[in-house]
Amino acid sequence: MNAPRDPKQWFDTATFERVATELERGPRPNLWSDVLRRLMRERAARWSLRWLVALVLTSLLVPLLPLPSPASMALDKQPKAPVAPWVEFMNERYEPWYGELNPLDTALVGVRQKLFGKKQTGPWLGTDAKGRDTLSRILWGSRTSLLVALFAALTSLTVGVLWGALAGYLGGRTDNLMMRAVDVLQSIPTIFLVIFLLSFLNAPGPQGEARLVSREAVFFLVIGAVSWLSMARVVRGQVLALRHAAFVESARAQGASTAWILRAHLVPNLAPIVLVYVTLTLPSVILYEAFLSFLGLGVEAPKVSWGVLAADGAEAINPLATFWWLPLGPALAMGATLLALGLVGDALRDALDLKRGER
Amino acid sequence: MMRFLARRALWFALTVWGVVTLSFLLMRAVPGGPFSSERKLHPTIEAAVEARYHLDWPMWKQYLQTIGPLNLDEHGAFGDGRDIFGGILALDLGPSLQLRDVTVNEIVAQSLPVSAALGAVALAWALGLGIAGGLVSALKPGTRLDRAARLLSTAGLSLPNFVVASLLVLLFAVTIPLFPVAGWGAPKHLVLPGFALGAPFAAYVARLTRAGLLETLSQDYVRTARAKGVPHWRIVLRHALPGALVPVLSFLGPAAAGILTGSLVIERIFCIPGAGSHFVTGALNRDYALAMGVTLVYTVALYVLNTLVDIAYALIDPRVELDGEA
Amino acid sequence: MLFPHASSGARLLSAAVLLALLGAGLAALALRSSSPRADFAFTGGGEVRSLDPHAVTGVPEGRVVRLLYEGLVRRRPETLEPEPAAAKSWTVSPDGRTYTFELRDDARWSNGDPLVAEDFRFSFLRLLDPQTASEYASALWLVEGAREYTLGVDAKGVEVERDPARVAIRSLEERKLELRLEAPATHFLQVLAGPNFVPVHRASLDAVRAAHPEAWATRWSRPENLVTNGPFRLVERRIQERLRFERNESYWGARDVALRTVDVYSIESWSSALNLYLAGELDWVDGAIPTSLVPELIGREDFQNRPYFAVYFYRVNVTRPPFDKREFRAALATSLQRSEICEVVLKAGQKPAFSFVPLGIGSYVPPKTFGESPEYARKMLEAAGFDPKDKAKRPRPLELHFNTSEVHRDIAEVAADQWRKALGLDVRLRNQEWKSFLDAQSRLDYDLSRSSWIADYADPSTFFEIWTTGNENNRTGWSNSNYDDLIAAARRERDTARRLELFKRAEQILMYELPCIPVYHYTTQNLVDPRVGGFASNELNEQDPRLWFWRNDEELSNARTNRELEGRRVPSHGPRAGLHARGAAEDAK
Repeated sequence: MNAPRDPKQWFDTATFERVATELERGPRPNLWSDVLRRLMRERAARWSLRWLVALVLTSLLVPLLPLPSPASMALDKQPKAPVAPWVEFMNERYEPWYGELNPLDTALVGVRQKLFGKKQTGPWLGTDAKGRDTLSRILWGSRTSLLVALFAALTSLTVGVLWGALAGYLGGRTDNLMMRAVDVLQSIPTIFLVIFLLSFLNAPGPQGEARLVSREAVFFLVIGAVSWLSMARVVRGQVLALRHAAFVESARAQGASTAWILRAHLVPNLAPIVLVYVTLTLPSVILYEAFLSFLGLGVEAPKVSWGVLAADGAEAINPLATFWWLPLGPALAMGATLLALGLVGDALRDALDLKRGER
Repeated sequence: MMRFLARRALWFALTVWGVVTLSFLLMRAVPGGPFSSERKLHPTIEAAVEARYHLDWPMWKQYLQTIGPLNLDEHGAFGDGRDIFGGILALDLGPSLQLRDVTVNEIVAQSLPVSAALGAVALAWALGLGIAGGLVSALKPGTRLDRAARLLSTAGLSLPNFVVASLLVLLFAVTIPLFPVAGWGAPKHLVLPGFALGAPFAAYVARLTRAGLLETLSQDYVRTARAKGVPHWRIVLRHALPGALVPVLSFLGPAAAGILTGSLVIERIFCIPGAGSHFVTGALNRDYALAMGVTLVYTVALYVLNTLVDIAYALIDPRVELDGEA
Repeated sequence: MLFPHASSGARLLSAAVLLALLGAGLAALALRSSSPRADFAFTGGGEVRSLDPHAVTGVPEGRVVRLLYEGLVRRRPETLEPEPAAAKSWTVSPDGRTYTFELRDDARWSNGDPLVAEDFRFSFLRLLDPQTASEYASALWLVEGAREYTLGVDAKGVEVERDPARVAIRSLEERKLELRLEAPATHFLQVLAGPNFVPVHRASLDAVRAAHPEAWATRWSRPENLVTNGPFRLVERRIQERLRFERNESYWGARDVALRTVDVYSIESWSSALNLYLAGELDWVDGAIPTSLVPELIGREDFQNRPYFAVYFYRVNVTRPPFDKREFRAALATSLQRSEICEVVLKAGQKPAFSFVPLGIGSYVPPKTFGESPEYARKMLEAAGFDPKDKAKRPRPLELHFNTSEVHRDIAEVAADQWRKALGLDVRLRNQEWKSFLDAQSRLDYDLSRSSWIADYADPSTFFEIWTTGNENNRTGWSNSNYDDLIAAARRERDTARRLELFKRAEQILMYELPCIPVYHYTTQNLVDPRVGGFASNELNEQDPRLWFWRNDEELSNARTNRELEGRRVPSHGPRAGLHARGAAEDAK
């Protein structure tokens, strides 16, 4: 498990005191466009952002693409090696079966069938042992992984930030109690939580009726439940520091209301670190999904995720068989995405480092 | 300092109690028991085996037995008195429900040093390489060297560890037989798993160091030192680096707790008899005693290390007051 | 100023160095003195749950028990027929109910104590005792009074006193043991050859129990306390790592045991086991090979795969519509394309199963049952009142329930695909981790649930008992009185041919009613160094560790030419000079 259990982040208090002073000197309406401009100045960050945007778009539109279905099988004894696009660009073997799909995706798949009919791309990245197209599975799998990441980000942003800000702002015994609650949640065995939620929320009715909550939803819930903890710690640390910062004290002395202080000082000053921290949370959440898939607690087949593909692919890394394309595709996709997230996070940090930017 | 430690101890007790209680409830709430198997037991026999592990007791009594410090069974404080103490407060985690020949204390005693040793090796190299990498890229920000170091350090965080570990085995144990493919017992067994375990942490440390250094290098006192004509390397090593390592230190607390208590993936792939796999197998096998034991170990490790980090903070930064917590 | 004291920075750095040093020290501590590699090392999967032979069930545990203990009889590895072990001979009374065993005069425990009939009586009673919680206690209920002793109730459910004297196990003389059965059972010796029916050493067990009444279970199996009567004895146990065994020199046949030391490794990951095997660290790997690797192994001389008395099947919850209709179950059973599953997913020569009981177990030949026919399946589906083309008559989505595992998932995916293509059914997958899975299965909270059943002994009854009404392992809600009657009759039947005929009729009912849909019959998958001799391959995948030896170069090439080792040659890691039993080597001279 590579999940960072990181309480205080690498933005130490000093940065924020400085950010805060700068902000105090006069609001800078162009702060965010400034940051974006600086971000795009760096080549690595530029490409990383482009990759991430492209990935999100692709994963949204993947039902529209002329790909084979990720679930349709052509049973064969061995996985098939990749065939270059210039050798076999398209074939006519499309089979429109996807397993369970939500209404939106069903509609999109319908459009795809009208557009491309029986046409589908060739096995550019090879197939797995059941003849399922690896490229298609990677792209469909990206949806699960990105959704997990999105959900974790949302929980971090809402629960984590609120919890941390509240604890830091209220301080004293309340703070201590709230933070110990985070300690407790961080220490209880996650696997039990996963099993518990799966068995209760995902249990079928006595006659096999539909479940209360789908397995994916449970999955997102678990990931969400564990991902906000470190965010809460980070935010709390920052709020604690900001609370005693000169400009907040002076605002309070001038009789500003708590709400106003929160809105005018704390929230804008927290935003950068929260943003940066999110880019750190996302990779670890995606890796955590992979870990759960490694244990077999991941999404249910025929749905795929990068974690499932990586776990299946890792098995192909052995001295006997040479199905190199099975681990390669998922590893590349995952590696590139996490790398991009990391680089964007780094660049974001640099871009937000106002003093250095001015030099 | 003493007041700080006393307060910490109080909160520690509260935290552990919270973890134990929540874990206890969670464990009993999940379906399936420790003795279910494909070959189902006859109800009479199942009842007998459950009785042996006191699973037939009412929940409150099982809970009290788990907490201790008094042993409530027929040999305990209210029985023949041969074994008065038991439970967590008596540091007796009870027999494992899955591995029926051993106690959880024995399992922890055998596996924790293994995990700790491997974790220490992983931490040591992660710190060494991470700090070095961070130094290099912070000293020459924006250069090719910086970019290379950052790319490498982010790469350490970019792949699931089971992929990294499998690749390491294939490359450095099978294709080029430098290291053993798996196993435990000699220093050579530490290399590959230590590397795989430490890689993500090295990546984190490198990024934290870089960020911290860039931060401190722009501080006034560093500028002053530079103005005084102190050599650059001296500024970095003596003035900037220690301050830059503060965030590394705060990361180290929880990271070390995680790394020292082991990793299921690494242990499974390299066949290492560490404690990390018990976190998962304890839960999957419904071995309540074992799961509780390792959870407890992790909680203690996390809390102790976090406290150490806070003390270290106060030692290096005089502005931090330990007693100022409340 | 954030950081004015440069010297404390140095402190911090030195702290890091100290940490590294501490790590090195810890490493030195934890890297326990590694004893040299054993003569023979193998793995059967994960950690052995217990060394108490009366408490264990799994296959890996059974292998360890066979190293440590010896029962009255054992199965000859080549034929699986019972042969003398700790008992040198036995007689069966004319009514087939009384078995009298004569123990070997030279049978001893590892501490030198003689092995006597009383040891067996004590051990069998211990096995039956509910406090021991043996999953196999019920197997010994063939003995008169045994069931009552375990359950505390008689056949009519009336509570009775649990009195050991009422169990018909008697030690007639010091080395003569008599067991009287409830009814004649032709497979009794097969049952007794199982790993659970071995003796434990009473004196040492009692001593540990007296010293540690609260913790005897965790102390008794320590190497310094454990007294055993098998060809090997335990010398070291490292949890989650390995068990080390040494030849038991007190064993009566120690002269014929070639190996001096044996290591049993606990390895959870099959890929790691394979790597260790290929590196020569393991000599035998018995496990579930990832299916993608099977084609790479199947041509090698060190890969043994033979039929295995085990069946993979789907339980059908007959209490839940639409599965309450036999026709619906028949539609599912006949539309599954088993050969596709065997050849494409499993690849290791598994046989499509059209009967629950594998062919050849105790000379049993399954009756002719159903076949695969999509047309027939569609007809059956219509007969059940469904029509996939008609929206109103389409069956509800079905759920295929299996425990978390790659191979189960692969099979389920293919099966669901086949049912969809053949019958237009919407089959969804639902995997659960093992314990939740078992819980859901026993609560009948499933539509179709994956299962497997492995034979305990080479007799068909091991497969038939579970489908009787009220059996704990039935778990389908199915019950059929004709079936129950046939099995009850088979239990009493002494004539082998008539008994097999009864079983055949029972199976016809089972395969007509289909509370279970058989998918395939297993094969064993052993990777064993070609230099290992005395390694039998049989349908129970049962080994006799006394017989293992290392071939020398000459014997290896002989084995290769004598067609004993077929397939592509692979390097062997064993000792080139071989390793033979003392007795055998002397005889050769």
